[in-house]
Amino acid sequence: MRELHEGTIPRRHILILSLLLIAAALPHTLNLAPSVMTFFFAMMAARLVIYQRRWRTPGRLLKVALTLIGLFMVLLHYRSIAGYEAGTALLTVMLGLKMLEVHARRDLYLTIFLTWFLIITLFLFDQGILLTLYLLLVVWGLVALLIAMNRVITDERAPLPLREAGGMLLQAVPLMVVMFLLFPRFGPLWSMPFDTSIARSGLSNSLSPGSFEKLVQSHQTAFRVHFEEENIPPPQERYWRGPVMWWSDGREWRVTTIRADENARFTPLGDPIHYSVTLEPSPTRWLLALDLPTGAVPGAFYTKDFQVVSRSDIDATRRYRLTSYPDYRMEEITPEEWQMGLQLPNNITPRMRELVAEWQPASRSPEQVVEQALNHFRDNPFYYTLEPPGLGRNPVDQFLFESRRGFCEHYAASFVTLMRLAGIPSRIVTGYQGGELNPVGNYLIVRHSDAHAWSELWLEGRGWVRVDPTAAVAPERILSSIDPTSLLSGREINYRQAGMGIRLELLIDSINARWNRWILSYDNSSQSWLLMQLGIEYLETKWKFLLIIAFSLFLLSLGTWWINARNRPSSDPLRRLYDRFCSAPLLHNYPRQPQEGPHDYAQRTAAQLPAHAAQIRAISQLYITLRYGRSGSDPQQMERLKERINAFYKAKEDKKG
Amino acid sequence: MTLPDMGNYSMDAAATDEKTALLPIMKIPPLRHLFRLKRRPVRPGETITFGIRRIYILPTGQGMLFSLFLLLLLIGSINYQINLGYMLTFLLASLGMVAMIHTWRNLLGLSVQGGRVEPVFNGQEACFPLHISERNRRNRYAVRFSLADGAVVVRDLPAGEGQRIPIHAPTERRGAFDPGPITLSSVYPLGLFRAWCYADTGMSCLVYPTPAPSGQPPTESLEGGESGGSSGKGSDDFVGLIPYREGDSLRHIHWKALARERGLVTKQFGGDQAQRISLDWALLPGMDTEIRLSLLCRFVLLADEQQQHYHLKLPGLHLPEGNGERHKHDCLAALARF
Repeated sequence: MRELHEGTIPRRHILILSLLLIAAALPHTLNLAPSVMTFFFAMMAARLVIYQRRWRTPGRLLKVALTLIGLFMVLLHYRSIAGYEAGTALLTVMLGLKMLEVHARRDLYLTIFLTWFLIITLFLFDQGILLTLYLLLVVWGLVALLIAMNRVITDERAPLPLREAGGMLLQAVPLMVVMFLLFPRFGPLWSMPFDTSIARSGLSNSLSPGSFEKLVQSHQTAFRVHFEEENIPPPQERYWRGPVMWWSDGREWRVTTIRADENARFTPLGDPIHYSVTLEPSPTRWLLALDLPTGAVPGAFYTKDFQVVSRSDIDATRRYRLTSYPDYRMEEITPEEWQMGLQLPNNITPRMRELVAEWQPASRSPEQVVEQALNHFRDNPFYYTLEPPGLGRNPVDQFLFESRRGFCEHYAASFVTLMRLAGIPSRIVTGYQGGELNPVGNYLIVRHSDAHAWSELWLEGRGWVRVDPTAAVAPERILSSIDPTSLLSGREINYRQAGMGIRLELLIDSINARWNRWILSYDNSSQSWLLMQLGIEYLETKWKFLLIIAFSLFLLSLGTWWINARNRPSSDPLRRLYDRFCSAPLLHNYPRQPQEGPHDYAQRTAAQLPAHAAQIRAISQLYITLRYGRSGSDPQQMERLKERINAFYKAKEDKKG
Repeated sequence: MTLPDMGNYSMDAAATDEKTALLPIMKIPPLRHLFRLKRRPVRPGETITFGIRRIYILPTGQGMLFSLFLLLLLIGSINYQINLGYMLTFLLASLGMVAMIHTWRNLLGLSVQGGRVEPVFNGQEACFPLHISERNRRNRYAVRFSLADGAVVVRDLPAGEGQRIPIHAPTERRGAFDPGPITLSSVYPLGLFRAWCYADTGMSCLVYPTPAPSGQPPTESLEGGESGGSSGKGSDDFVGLIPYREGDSLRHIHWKALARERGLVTKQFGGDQAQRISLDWALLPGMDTEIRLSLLCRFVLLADEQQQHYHLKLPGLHLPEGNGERHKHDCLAALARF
């Protein structure tokens, strides 16, 4: 039998820990540099070979050499050991090395604790349900290993105590839930280097031919929208506003300045729409909003052109609530806006000017010019396609007069250019259009393939008005989402068709949505909402902590109490009464021996305590009758016994007797 | 075998323990009950059951390391705002709390009882047998039994069973050896917390002096000269056994002793004046007390081996002549306690 706290540890535990560590690090093959992961797996393979062959673990010199190689591998790829990717790589490498020198119990402990840290680093890259469930299994195994380590090892081949570990984890769940829900969420304690090397798809602050191509091929979810009322806007009104672009060099459009503006105001005309958006992590800081948003968003600001911009990076899923008015009116335009809205690049060709000039005599008002322009797109052979031919130095000119094939970005860019030529202040708005209604969860899923660009024009008396030239060419694009893959495979336009596969996909998405909404994007506002549901208007941070502590103590004492209550060897009331008799202060010096029956005990103690002999005999006799007699447990007799025992318990020793 | 009376000693110790251990807040009447840990003295043979107020618990070194890691996990989760990180951190923190209860529960309700301790000679290992019974029908794992300076025994205790657990401790001095309370401890299941409790079983071991390696009893006493008694051999009364010498009658050889591998010895018979051995402190003058006791111890053993009658004289104590196990023990005990 091995003793605990011994220096050496069972071989089997090393094997199990190695396997669990491999399992924990496995998902990192998708996240970390292949060289780093190769090094890690090589170390683990070495560990397993050493285990199998019962070799000695490497000596100090070799370990130092391996450590340097590992460090070099990390530096070679990441050029640093700071930053979360490099840091994770370093941790992975060091864990591989650590396994080579696991000798004592505390090495096992340290490795297990570090593996938990490794699991957290996995969440930096992916927070999906499947990964989480997988890692939960790893944690389960680690806890079982901890239990096995603390048992007396009689059998090296004993199975892992998974049942006990599972039980303990389940018992830990209630407190975990309370802590998770109540723990106040605050910002980073200090700024963390967040690498930008991980490309997340999303909108960017510039628009040039082809910049949407990659985005619209992505089937990934950009954000989800839960509407608070039933009035979900129809597809043609679902314009999700993102970066607004004013400046162009004739090829590229750019967001110039982003700053908070208190004067972003409009006059709402219709009914408001209340909704909350759950935004997936994004490389940029735009919070998408329906036209036109209003109401404060914590940690974000409005610009003059109604972009809602977060003050911090959107590294994690983010949830925010907004109110929008689809119908509105604006009174004034600033001179600056007027000027910016008419800025023209220097590659305007004569045929562009001619085209605009053709429309102007026939139309008295800007609205009529707009109508003419849209008709131009509608009546001429313009095609909507995701595989437009390559465009040269002057894409707007080429698109308008030569290729005539393109998608939203081409239409929006050329339309705005033409409007500016016609003297109508205009700008490009990029964002998303549409979204798929998930009947399972009754919310809207907006994917990156729904990315869109449209234009806004300043029309006197109405303000900035949305005009979508793409709708003129492909109204279907606006009414329904495109399946980008079918567009790429040669056909020019097609719509997503609902089938069995889609339904399953929607169900999975609804589970994902709940996961995102309640777990990944659970934050202070979700917390306040939850507390509100419980009737608590506001809870200070310190009270949250106190509540957590109070709840922990409550659960702790509940557990203790419950175990203690169940711990009584006997739940028989008669037995308990007799035990009370035996533990009476008077009998303190004459404990009952295990083999001593109640009768013998009474004889012995009565002889020792003559003054109380009668009392002792009466109690014992009553007990024996109740226990072994025919009458069973007569409640009246029980009561008598209880009274007598209580009296005896309180009695003082009578020395004179 | 008698045991020293330790009742008074531990009663006082427990009383002072309780007083010093109580913080002012714990003295508030309703709270006092909550914080008081029972450590009342027990009498030998009494069964001690470890109830809620007898078990102490504190984190282990690994437990401290665990909490340090939890803090790191929490900082990581806060800084990168990973909700799943929070979840893992909180799951592990709750698991730590659950482990605490389980560790405590691993000792809760166990009953122990001190067993009979056999006397040993100084230098031998004393063995303190602890009878432990599990009555809650729950498996207990890796319960560690230890003495302050003794061997450590780690055992699993199967549900509903009793076990005798011998705990060994080296002896260094003759006399009554009180090993102090036996500590039962457990870090099961996760090793993050250590729960422990003291079993003041009142067990004590009588340690005889080390028998001297060599030395013969003073001849005077063997010959019994001064008492004037005759050691004349006869054949009426059995007096004792002496090593076989050539010429001894075969009829007087103690065959049973031979069978017990005690060597060839001859039964001695004498008249009414049997051979007496006097083991007298005064006959070993000019020696260190311990050496004297060691020699006397050896003589007692020799005399007993030869099944002779002997009496022991110590300053202020005289054990009359006798023989047999009981007499031997009384003599050795007297030497031990001297």
